[in-house]
Amino acid sequence: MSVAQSAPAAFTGRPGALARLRRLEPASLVWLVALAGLAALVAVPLLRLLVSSFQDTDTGAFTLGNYATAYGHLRDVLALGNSLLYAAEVTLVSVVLAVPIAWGIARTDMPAKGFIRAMILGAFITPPYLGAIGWILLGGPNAGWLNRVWMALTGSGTGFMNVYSFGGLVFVTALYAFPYIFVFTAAALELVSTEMEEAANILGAGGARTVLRITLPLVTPAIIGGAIVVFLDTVALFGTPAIIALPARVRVMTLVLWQFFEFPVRAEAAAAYAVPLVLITLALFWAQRMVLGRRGYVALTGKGGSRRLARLGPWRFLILGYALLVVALAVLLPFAALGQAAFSKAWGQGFSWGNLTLGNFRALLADDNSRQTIAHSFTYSAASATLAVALALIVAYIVSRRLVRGGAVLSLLCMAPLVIPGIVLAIAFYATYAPPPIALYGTASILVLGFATRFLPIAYVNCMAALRSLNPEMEEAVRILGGGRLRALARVVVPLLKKNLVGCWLLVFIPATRELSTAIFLVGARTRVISVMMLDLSENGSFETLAALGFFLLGVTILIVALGYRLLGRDFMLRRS
Amino acid sequence: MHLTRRAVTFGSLAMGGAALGPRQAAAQTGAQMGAQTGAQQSLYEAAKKEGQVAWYSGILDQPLCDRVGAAFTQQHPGIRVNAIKTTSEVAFQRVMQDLNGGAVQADVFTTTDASHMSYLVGKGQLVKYVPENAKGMVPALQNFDPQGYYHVSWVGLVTIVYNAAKVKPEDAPKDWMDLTDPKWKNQICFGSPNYSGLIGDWTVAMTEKYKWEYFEKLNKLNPLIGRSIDDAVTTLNSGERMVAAGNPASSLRSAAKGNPLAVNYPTSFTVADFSPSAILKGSRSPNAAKLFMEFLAGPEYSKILTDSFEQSLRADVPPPHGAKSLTELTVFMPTLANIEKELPGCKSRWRDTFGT
Amino acid sequence: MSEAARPRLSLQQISCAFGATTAVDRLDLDIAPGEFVSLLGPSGCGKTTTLRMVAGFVRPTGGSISMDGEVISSPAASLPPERRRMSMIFQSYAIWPNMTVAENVAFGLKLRRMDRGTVRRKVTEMLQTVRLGGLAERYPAELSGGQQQRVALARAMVIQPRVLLLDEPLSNLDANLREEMRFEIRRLHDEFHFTTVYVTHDQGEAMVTSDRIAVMNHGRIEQIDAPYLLYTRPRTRFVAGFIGRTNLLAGACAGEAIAFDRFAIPRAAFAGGETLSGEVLFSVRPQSIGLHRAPPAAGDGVALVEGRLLQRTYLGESWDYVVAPLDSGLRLKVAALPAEVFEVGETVWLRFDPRQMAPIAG
Repeated sequence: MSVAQSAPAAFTGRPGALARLRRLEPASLVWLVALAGLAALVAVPLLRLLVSSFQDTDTGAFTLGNYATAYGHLRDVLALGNSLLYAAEVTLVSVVLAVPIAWGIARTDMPAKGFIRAMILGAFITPPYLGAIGWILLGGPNAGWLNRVWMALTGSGTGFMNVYSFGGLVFVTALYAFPYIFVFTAAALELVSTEMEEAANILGAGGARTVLRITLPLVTPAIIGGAIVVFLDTVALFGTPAIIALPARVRVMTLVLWQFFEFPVRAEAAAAYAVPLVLITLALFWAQRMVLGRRGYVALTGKGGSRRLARLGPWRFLILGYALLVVALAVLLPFAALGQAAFSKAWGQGFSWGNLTLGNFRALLADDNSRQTIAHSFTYSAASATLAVALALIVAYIVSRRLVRGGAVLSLLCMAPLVIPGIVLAIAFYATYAPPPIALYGTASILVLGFATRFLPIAYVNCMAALRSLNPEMEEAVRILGGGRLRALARVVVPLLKKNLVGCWLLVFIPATRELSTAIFLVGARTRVISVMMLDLSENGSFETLAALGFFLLGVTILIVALGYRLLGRDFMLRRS
Repeated sequence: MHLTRRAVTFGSLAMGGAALGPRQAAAQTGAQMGAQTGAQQSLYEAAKKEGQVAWYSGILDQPLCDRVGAAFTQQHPGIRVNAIKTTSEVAFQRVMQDLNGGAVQADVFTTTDASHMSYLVGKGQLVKYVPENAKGMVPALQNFDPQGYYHVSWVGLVTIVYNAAKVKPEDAPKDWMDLTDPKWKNQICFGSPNYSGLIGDWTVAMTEKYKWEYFEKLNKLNPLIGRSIDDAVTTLNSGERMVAAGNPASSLRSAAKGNPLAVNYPTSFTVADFSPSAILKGSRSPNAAKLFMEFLAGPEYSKILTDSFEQSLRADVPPPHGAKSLTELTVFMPTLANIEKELPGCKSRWRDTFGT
Repeated sequence: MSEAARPRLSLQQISCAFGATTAVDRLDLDIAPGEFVSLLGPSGCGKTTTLRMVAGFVRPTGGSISMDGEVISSPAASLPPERRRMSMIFQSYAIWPNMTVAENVAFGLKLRRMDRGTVRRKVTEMLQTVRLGGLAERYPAELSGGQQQRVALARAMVIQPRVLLLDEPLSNLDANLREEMRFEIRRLHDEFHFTTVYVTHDQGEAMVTSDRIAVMNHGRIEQIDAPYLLYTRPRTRFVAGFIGRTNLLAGACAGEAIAFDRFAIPRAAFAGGETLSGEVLFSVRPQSIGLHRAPPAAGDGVALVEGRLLQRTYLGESWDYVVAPLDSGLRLKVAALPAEVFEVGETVWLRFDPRQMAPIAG
């Protein structure tokens, strides 16, 4: 890859002088820094991973044995198949959960939007471990609340649902994955001009038809972007399967991967197991290209597109009802179940006035260590999110504006980290950055860089979708008036995509606060984060404190969301009424 | 003692400490806390120059590890402990990466999987050191490694645990075979040897004592299979299941808060697993590391353990409230060699039987 | 080369290929300072690519572009758009919806580091000029299509560009507004005299606005001339057909005359007729063929041909007839005033005036 963007400082009448007068623009320098960052954060650890997958554990000699170990058993290959099926179903369910609510919030006069938005992000920040436990409390075949209510109402001897099943696994995972698609889609819908819909209306299309044939297709890139993230994230997910798939006797890839870390440790075989997963990313790219084709999806054209909220009349309560149902399933019900633990002295005792306490919260917030841990998580995640969004935006810009050759390679680099299970990626990362000469061992930087790398794909997909929704003429207008590319980015691209970028930031920030597998490998004595603390709490049986921590995170998220949307200010797409 | 493939009755092996009553033991502990031998004194002088010790721990939890560190620092002012608690697998993987990267970051490494230690001994990466304080440990825990590279820092037990709100004490299973009673259909839970070392030991022990049939009988009762041994606490508290093979420490900790959990030490034997600590060769604070090994073998550490319902390693520190001391129990522990030989087969059969 | 004669913009042998397709093929074009030139042609003819090369968004694969004698684009290097001191009006207008009208217009001025007072004054003046005086603080979403177009014009002109580029600026407006805006664009040009390149596929727009029109086809300029000459003297079959309607008559040089099917006209009657040779094609506009019931007076090389009227269509402002000369396969379109009524089947006389017949290259 070479930077093709070059520009002479000044021109003389003699064309021969042109070549000599080439020099780097400040913008080119930014591109180079971004590309170098991408190489350091992704390419080097991935290369190390690839190399180690061909190395013998003891001697380091070249071998194909790791691949034989990893894929030698039909059972393990089938587990990979299960993972793909699992991810595909989760993706599908997530789309069904997310898209109608995104439309309701972005394009209609549905009431209680702020509440729904906060609840969805609340679902997102809920660590999968906690959400899964919440659902075990609700849908456990013997003692699940919902099943007990069902049995009481119908007199039936058995419950109506079993969370310990493949369907239960898919459902519970989707409940905490759909916010990815929601955030992508809502941001894109906010950029679709009402004129597009009016054009369909004038041709005789009714409201529903317009939504299905015009509005939603226009944001297909965003929906697909979110779907890709959900798919990759689910393939690499460990927490929910560990709690639900194992008892359901369903074997998925991440559970198999774990056995390579049991003694005798074969981290190289784990690498070999993970390397082909990058092919999944490639396949998704190909599928994306097939679906999107060469159709245009430009939404924000620069014709001053405006947006009016569709008046749904009584129907707005239908869409609100759907949104409430989804957030009830994802947040309200599980948290009600968890609340029983968070506000109990001993949750196994069940409800009683004497058992009620705020002590778990007090213990959590009074302890210096846990306060620091919470502060670490939020600051590191914020730093990672900022870094990932900045890097992703610049690389996505470089790729979408074709500033260098080899854009496909850059895209793949940006997308690969998500599908590689966190623990495998973290080992490669640790090997690259912990020892001298870089010596980031035990620092906050290694966690920040690790999180930023792990979630770079989310930011990248989002930035690509956002840039695709922007007519390039908007930037060209800046440039022809005398502003460089950097100014176009700063004054037009970033402000226009403000909502997308804030959404994108949240999409990195939140998973970073709950990320365990990378954190556990990179954490140092003074850089502990919430996810590692949760593992401790779950392993020593302090479920009351764990639930309290979950509530605390939910509360903080709601605050962040409220604050964030206040700061975003006036919506330039909405017409003055 | 040498570890062999036989049941070990701690009571019969425990001499000095076990004969003492709890009060006398406590008095002796107090006396020891004040005194330090000359050798430890000179170690301390050398360690003070190093100023800190880094500890990779696969045992306990971070707050507890920090408490251990703080207690150590209190006893040895000027030496800070940087404790990093992860899972044993991760801790070992980090040790390996550090060794490969040529920068050993941890001085002391503690793991629940003793195989890690025999591997590191084989690679010549451990420092041989027998703490003076080891003499005060329960005899069965002494000489875990006859060569003296690594020493027991934590004892994990597998017992029967049940939900006391749903099961009356007289109905609760008393011994391992009781779990196969059809009345527990849909009511049993335990972890998986594929994800938990302690359950791995339990699996090997049960196979040795009762043959694989034991698990086939259990499978007919549709047990709920979790990951970690500690999942039993959550599952029993939620009421989803009533009886479990579980860890008495986490169960008693939860019960102490008022949760309806109770522990039955099986009448025939309790399964045990020893988690060793060792000093890594080439670390930055070799003297502080030795001093910390002394601390882990000493009474203050065991006191911290029992405060949090973990097993005491020493005869002079009484067991936690409601728990039995190692000396009172009939304990069965498969040997390391036996585990390394049998476990892979057990894991595979486990997948065939339970499909997970 | 003297300063006055030097073109503002000079495109020399400029080419642009995307893979195997050649969008622009060795095109030459000089534009004088203050001149308004349109690039007119069907879609895919390379006009937009040419404009984008002038703007600096696309780098040529051959040839060079100079501005005021300095090379600004060549295959080796291309001065980035932001350094060309041009401005452009885009098909989508590309006004920034996150900025108010005033902020949009002020953008280029601020980049030129003008002080706040000057910026405010220039913005106000320009908004008055484009008749958006009261709307400075509105957001684009709150404007009509025509108003948005005016914002784009104001934003482009306020910086006094060395070259003003327009890319199909009216294609998104409805018919009435489009009609109005053509005259508006010409009015603004008459006021400011910016060197302007205007890309369009609408000959009406080009005719109204331009000093010269370059008709493009397959990546090349077929003909560049003032609108009047382009219409009356098309030099290629494509131009003749693309600009208005026409009849094509094949003639052959035979001695001092040029022989057509059924009639002949002396060479000397044609302007530059002596240079013609061999087979020649002539373009004759429908309205320049006379239609008579009886043979009119001949003279000045005028030719008369008898024919039969085959079809007629009434268009309000004129009649459209189709006439076939007797014993000929030709079908000629003839336009006549509303009063000149003929019946289908009538025998008529066609009058060809050589001064209104344009010889075109094969």
